[in-house]
Amino acid sequence: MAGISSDVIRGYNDTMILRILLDAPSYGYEISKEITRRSDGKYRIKETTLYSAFTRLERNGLTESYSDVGKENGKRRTYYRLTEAGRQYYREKCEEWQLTKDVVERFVVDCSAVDGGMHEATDDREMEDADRRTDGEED
Amino acid sequence: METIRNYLETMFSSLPNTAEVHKAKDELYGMMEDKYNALTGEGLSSEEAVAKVIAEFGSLGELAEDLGIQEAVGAADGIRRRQVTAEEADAYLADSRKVIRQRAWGIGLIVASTACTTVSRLIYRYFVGGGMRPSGMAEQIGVMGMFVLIAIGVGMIIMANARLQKWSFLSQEPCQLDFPTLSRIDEQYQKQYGRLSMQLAVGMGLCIVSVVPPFLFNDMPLRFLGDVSIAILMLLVAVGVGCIVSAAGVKRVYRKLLDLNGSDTVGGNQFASQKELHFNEPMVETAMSVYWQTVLCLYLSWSFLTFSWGRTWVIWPLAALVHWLMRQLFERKGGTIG
Repeated sequence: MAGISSDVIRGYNDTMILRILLDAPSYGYEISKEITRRSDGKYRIKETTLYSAFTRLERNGLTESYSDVGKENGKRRTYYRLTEAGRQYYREKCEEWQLTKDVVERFVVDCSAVDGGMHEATDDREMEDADRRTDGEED
Repeated sequence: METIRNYLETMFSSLPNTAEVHKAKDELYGMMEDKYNALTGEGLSSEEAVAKVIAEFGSLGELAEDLGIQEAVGAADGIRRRQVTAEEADAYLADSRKVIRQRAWGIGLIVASTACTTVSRLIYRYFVGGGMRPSGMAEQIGVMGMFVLIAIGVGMIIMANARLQKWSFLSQEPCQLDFPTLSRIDEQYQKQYGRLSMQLAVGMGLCIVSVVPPFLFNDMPLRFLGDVSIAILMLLVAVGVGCIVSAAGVKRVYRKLLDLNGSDTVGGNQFASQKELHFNEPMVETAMSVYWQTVLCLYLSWSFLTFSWGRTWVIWPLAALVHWLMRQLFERKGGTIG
């Protein structure tokens, strides 16, 4: 299976990071590990992409960074936590995604039907349903 | 981890030396370190972990906008630096050493050539003419010897310069050296720094001491010693100048390599330029680079013209004071970031 194109996912890196920070403040590698874990290894975020997102989020006031010593090995790291603006932004992005998905799905699903790959599209729909459920929990 | 550090340093080496860039480098290194530790903890070998970390690193192009380095990370209008390999750097060092030695000999010979007429006069007076005043022939032979030495000296310098021709690209186009090579060269330089400074000091010492023999023997009854002392003066100056030229030359070559990445970039800033004194104004920078040499010249010329050695030493504490003042006024603090 082809990997995720970075162009497509770019707009959602920030949202993924915000989702992880919604649970607890975290640091670079832990966030990247968490993204890999939650995506079942289907998406690995690159270090430069991640750092670029951190600086952008902080500049826009969606996150705050602070220096802290990790519990497990005492290493000093930069941690990030969500601000109220970040929480609000995440909510907006969730709504935006519902709309985006709703629109894109109407076309992309038809495309895969042309190749006779219907079962893959159903898989996708199942995954998205699961997403919607988790989103619902947070709200 | 060493490989990862080198990789990161090389990637960042040509970026501007700003706080944002340094922070990005440190943060990225922290993430890579965590990942490396996690991967080796999962049972991957060190090589496998390094390969995976580097493969998943991404590209600095993504950071361009955040760091204000759009033009530096390989955009079409950015500075394209020619990558100098470790082999090239070593070959340049080896070539330069030969050239500097040759050039130092050439300059030494030219200085020493001034002793020719004195030497030929001495030989005539004490070995050929039996104490008679030297004839015109002795003078002519001396002058001829002088020109021969000058010709050899100039020839050596020209040949030496021709040898450096193929390295002219180092000065003419922007180049870059990778981090491991730079740190190896920096280590070499640090090791030799003491010896080179000593050589410089010895060279300057010889130039100063050279005035002693004529002093000692000037009033001696033996005219022979007085005459010989002039020749010795010239030879001491020749050796001294040779020492200065070669030590300063080797230092300059190392500094050139260490500054290759540009002292306002991350890579260039870590080495030589930080340890050297720098000034804000280009004019001041140029003037101050020859400051102590100028003071030495002033001291010697003043002393020789007036012969009041009891007073002329005052120039040194004065010079030190002026130097301190210039530093207070114009010094540029390098590498204040981080």
